[in-house]
Amino acid sequence: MTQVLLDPTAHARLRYVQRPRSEPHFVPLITAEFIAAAAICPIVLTKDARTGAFYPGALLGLTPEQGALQDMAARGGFLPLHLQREGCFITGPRIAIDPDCPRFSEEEGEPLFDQQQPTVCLRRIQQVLRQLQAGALHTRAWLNTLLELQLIEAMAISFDLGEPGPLELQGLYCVSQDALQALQDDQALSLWRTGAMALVFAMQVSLGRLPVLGQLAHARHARAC
Amino acid sequence: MRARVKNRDVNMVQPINKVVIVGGGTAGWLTAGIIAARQRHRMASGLSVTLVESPNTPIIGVGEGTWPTLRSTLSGMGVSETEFFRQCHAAFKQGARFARWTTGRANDAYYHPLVLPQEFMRLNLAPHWLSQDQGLSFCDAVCPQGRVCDDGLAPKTIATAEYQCHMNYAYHLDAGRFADFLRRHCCERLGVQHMLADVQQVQLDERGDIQCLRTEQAGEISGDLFIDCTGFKALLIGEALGVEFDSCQDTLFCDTALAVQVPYENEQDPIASQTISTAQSAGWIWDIGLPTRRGVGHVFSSRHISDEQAEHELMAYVGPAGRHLTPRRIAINSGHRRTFWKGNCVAVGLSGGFLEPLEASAIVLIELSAKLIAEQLPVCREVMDIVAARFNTSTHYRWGRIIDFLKLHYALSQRDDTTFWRENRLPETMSERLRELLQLWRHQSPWYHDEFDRVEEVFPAASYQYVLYGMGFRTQVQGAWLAGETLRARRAFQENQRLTDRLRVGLPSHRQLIDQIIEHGLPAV
Repeated sequence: MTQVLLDPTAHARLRYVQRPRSEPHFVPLITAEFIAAAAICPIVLTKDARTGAFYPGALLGLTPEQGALQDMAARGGFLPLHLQREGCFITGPRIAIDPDCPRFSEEEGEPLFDQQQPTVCLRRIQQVLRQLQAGALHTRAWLNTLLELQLIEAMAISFDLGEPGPLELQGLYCVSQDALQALQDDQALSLWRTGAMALVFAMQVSLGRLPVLGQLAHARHARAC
Repeated sequence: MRARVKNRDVNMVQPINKVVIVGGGTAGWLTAGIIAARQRHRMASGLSVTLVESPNTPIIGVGEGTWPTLRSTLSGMGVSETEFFRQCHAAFKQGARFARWTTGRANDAYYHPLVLPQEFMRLNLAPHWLSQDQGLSFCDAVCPQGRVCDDGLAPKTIATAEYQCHMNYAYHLDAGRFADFLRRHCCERLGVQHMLADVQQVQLDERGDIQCLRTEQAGEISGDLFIDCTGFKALLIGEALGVEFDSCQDTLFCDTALAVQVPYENEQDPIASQTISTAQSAGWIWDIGLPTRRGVGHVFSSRHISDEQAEHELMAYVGPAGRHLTPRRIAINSGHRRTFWKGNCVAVGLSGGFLEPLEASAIVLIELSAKLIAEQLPVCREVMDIVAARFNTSTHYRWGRIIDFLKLHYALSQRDDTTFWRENRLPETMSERLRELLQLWRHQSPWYHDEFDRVEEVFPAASYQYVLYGMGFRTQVQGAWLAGETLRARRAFQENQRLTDRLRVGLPSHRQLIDQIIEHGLPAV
């Protein structure tokens, strides 16, 4: 992936397509999105392949091929912030873009600049990037709390989709119910007071959406057979 | 060095409340850590673990190669694997590659990996492999680890939790840093008391137990159980208690090592994730890759070649990188104490014995002994002799099996180029047990259920399979007798191939993973 700084002159004709052309089956989330996401899709933790660090995300399908909630309608209009700014990044005080990202075009979408001034579209992206930047710090602090209290455990998820055998999801993590129950009173109270517990509950509730993903995948699989 | 006194009332029950470990090398600190971690609840109610270390004796720093057991040992002690990598210059070890051991030719090499063959607990693939000529080595036919090592890959990714793995692994490490790392962990986290003092005299009581140590700097140090980790000196078990040493040099001929530390040409040169062991005219050369340097050494029999010849072979192996290096000479007296636990004294590490470093048995023997002591730590002196007898039986068995396994590498060699290799195959240089097993294995291959089900067993049957079939040994197989398992075996071979392909694509390079661990750390879960 290449990144170039967004420039009013060089990118004067650049436009941004509001809806992603193809959506991934797993999208990173910040904690501020948990409540909205919880009613739509499972929120789970996974690890960054470069650093091994945990991060939360929305599971929109069981595999990249097993589309389930990968369009806006199926998600009741929920669009994670990471998808709202796809192809745009913060670099120091400025915005950088990935010019190869299919969200950028000179023919379709909304313009980013109008007479070298940011348009509503670009201001919206700036706002999303600011939200993500601030949210990343809060999300990291929340994860560190979970790690310190040893609340994270690996999930064992298996779906029977018929041949060629069960589909096992690996590399996903959640908050351990047992570890949560075993917390000291003061630890639980601290989680409650800081709002960390509400996020844990949102995550727990969201896991109720896993069977829905399974059913959708199963129906899709049956249609394909 | 020793004195006797009569001041213990032998009729009273003597609780074991004070464990004193003498010697601060790898053996001392590992033993201290293992006991303190295992007995932490007893320590809360009065048991103390004290390590007495001479401020004037440099540690030998035995062993740069470990076994996979060290993972559970460190984890059990509460050590962070990330910190271990950062502070001990550790690297992953996925087994050993033996070159020129069988025929001595340039293309002669095989792996002794650390993963079990596919389906090992349910199906013995060795006879199936023997009955087919797939063109694959035994190792490559039954497990992915040889190929992964050939590709220079790590056994896990940065997203794999501490001590977890995609493929079983051990470590290569800087032994000097390791002892220091363990010292800090033991003292800061596990409540081990550290005393810097030179032992001048060992005081015995009337029944021959060690009552106390008289030291130059700290006066008298008493204890209930003493653990001798004083290295080759064997200050307690040898000098004070007079336990004899049984040499096994009539079986394992190598008695000298020349060691050098070889810098990498470039900082980002690949790091081998296996010990490379290359046979020479009268011994073999080890080559261990750490992130910062390679540790290379020639282990040889001084009865068969001179130091000068050995150094010449070592430098020829190292090449231009060794131009300004001067090898360190280490004498190896292969063998062990006749008794490891006598009275209230146990020998752990070099004081208990030492074997040539083939198959990296030094640190694992420390771990096994320390775990046995920690598990069985007697409550009172009155039951100590029972525990000691059991400890001695187990430990003797282990040393015997390790000596047999090391000898196996020499016994299977077909090399005929020097007296060293020819003499190594003489039946009188092998134990009766090994001779019998070699005869047995002509007709049935070693497997999980037969010989190797003792708790004390050190090498699993899989290790014997890898060495036997890696070195061209042939077990007679009746193809028709395998008919009932043929389909399962074929599936297992295919599954291994799939797994191998997947891992070769998905695993990072060894150096890349170590760099990532140092920068980001491994996740705890």
